Amino acid sequence: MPKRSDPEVQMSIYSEKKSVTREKRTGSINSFDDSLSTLKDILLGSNVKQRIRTYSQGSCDEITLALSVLLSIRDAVTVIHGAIGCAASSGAYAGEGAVWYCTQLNESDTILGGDEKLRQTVLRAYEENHPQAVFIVSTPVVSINNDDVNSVILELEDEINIPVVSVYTDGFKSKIAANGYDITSHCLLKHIIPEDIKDGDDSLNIVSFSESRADLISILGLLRKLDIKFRLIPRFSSVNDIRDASRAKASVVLNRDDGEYLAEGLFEKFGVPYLRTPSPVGIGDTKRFLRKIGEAFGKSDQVEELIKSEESRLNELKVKSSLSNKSFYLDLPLGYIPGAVETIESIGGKVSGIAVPSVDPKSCVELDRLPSSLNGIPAFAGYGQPFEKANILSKINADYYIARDCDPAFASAYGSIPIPIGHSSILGFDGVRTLYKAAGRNGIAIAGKEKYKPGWLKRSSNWYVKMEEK
Amino acid sequence: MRGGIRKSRNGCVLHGALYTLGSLQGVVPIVHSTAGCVLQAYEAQKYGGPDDGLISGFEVPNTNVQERHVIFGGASRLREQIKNTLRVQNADLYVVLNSCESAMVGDDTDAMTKEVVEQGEPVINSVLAGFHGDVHRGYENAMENLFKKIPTVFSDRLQKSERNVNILGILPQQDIFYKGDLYEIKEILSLFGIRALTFFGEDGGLEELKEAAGAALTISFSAWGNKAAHYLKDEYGIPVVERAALPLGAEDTFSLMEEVAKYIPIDNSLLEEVKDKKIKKEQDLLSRIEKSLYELDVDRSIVIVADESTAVRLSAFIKRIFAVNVSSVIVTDFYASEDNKSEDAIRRLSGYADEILLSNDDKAIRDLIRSSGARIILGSSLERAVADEINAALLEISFPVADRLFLDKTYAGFRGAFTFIEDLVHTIRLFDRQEDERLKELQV
Repeated sequence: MPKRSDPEVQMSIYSEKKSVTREKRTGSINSFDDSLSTLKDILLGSNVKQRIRTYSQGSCDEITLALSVLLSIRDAVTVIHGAIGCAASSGAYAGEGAVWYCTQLNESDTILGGDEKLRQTVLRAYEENHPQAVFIVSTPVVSINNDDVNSVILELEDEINIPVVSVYTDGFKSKIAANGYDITSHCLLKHIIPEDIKDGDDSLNIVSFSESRADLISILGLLRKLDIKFRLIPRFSSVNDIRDASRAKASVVLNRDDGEYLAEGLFEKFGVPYLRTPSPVGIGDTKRFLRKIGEAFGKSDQVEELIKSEESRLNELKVKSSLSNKSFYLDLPLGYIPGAVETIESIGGKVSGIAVPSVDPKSCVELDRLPSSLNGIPAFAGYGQPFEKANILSKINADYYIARDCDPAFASAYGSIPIPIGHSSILGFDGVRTLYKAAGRNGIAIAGKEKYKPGWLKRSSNWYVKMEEK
Repeated sequence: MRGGIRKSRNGCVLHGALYTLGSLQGVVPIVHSTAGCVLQAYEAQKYGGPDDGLISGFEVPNTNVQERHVIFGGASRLREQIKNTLRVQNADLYVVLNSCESAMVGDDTDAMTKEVVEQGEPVINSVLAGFHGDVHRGYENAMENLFKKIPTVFSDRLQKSERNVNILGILPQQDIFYKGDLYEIKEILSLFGIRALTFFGEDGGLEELKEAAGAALTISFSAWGNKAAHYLKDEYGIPVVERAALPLGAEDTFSLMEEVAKYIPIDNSLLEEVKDKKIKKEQDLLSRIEKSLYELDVDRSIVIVADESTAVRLSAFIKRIFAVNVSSVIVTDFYASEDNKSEDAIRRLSGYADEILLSNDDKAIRDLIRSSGARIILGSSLERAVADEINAALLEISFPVADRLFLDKTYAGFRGAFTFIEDLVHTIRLFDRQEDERLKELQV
């Protein structure tokens, strides 16, 4: 186990003041639209050329993703430092009892600076709530103005004796929204988890950034049955939970793209082993996920028993769930795709296209697991962009369109029945049930409206995806 | 209150523009901003708004500017985005919107828009950015901007109509019952042969916006419609009726009609006939619940947390029906600037409320609610926490209202009076039922 004094740890990216962008750290791109085999080819080189869209639609950014995590942390308060609109999504992301503030920068603040407003707002956040931590999320106005959040924090050190953390998002330096997860992780590792590690507590960290509540209920339910002490971090957790993450026996990550940075940081800085597993999607990957955990916690027998009972319960449903050659377009996190493909194919269905938020050379971990029969299917990288997906759908056969993060309703106008999985689980054995039941789904009685011009649909779907010129 | 806003409930100017433009048939906004602005508006709308809009969230054309656009300017990115939007998305009218980033960097959206207009495309732009104010100002500016700029792009001949009336001051999405409110106003005016141009209906959109210039009258139902209303007056001579609020109940609705009749001839005997009918119905229904209304004991202290025009409407109605003053009103939209809180608001409300506070800060709101001893709160979902804390009933009447969609429901006009009373009674009675629980707890 590496020690904090080891030279490798000293030089690690986790000891830097700030994390580097996804573009720099992993070479991620968020604009790609071509066949799966072409995607695998371009990712083979370590230097993936950046691509952009010369036409695009509304997208997530690092700020909304960071807020979706921070606002769910109990006993912490988030200060959104920016114009009032940057805090608008807070109601949607806030956990029960969550408190947030917005400095509400106006036009004169964009000229004179917003430091004083920030100082007063942070003081309020502390005095009115006595939280365990205050997170300051920065926005484009603050970044363009070069406001110095750190000096405000330094000035408050004498008045406030809890961590006041600058979550240094800016909203435009990275195209990859998941960069917001990396920034959040970096801040938690640096400012929340204490340097001194208390005694180990035989627990398992479950690293989750974007899973739905249904997904988490499915997985945590399985771990309860195995009687394994777990700690969900960072979303839906508490500041204390995050502090204690360094005491865990091991960490697992539900979505590698989201959570690897945090899990690797926990290992490099605090020596918590990172159990690399696939996302628990589908029977095969759920078994792999559970078995790896079982092995680390000496519960291999219990894991096998659990798998046996869950699988036999699913078999009855499996027999009834023939997909008889129905085809699916999967718009999911990359980590979920191999398991989803395996499940769909196991009951006679086909996958006719995939869409993921972003890709980088490491994506081959997941992409190489896909059967070579899929090499010719369209592969898309990007957040949202229904105009482009509509074009793809209009050209392929996709009876169903499964999406977690971006609204699938538009697909009904282009020949696919939308299946949103925000509230049904796609993880674990419950998730398998969701996929098995997909065969019975119908659309709703509203014909989707065609929002895009016929002339657009005649073009190739990647018409607006271009190499970025430096 | 200094030191930011606790648990903010209002979006920014850009969000107001998106909610307004996104609820108009055939109109597509093109947002020149960093990624995330549109999603923030969408998350707020999904969480607390009445509907999804006709275009919102992931569907909205967006330049998604990056660092190099911040450093070197993003005008060329906007140019290509406008050009490509015209090729990809269907619309009768496209509206280019600025953002905090594009305003700070100084991208010339006027010039980029002018370029395509010269090529004959139906595109206008709006210059106001997010940090210029909140969501209400976004609506205000969006409407004025539409009336100002549509004639610069479309050369339709002005067609005057003696019986068209423009309806302004009802904010899409932000006014949670905006659809039902607009339907009701349209219905009421149609009883007198008057056609209400509500713009946000199924027959609304660009053509109706064009017709606004030929209307006989504009009614603005909140301060936020006044700017656009006065623009139409200055430009086309269309008289303006400024109302503090939508009407609620028969008496209030006829007071509105009497004012409208000063500008648009309404047959007096028809007015009397409809008035008799509506008042008769209202009195009949109220008489059938008179005993229940007394039993309800609405004299329990009521607090309203809402935009000013909703607060005026509901507090005045409560006074008319129950003869009680609302104990406190907290106004969450300020027409005047922060430094110059409107005394007009206080004046307008002082006949119906004992205490008036202008604030959208959650701490100020909760502190006042606690000290008021309120038993009934008419507010937003953000008031749920304090309602539970002080054991008060909560009826949601202002943004955000979580977990609900609204299609056609209204607390305005004739039918709004009945719906409001139904919901108020339900809320209070449900709340009173909780006393069983409290009694049980005390006996344990």
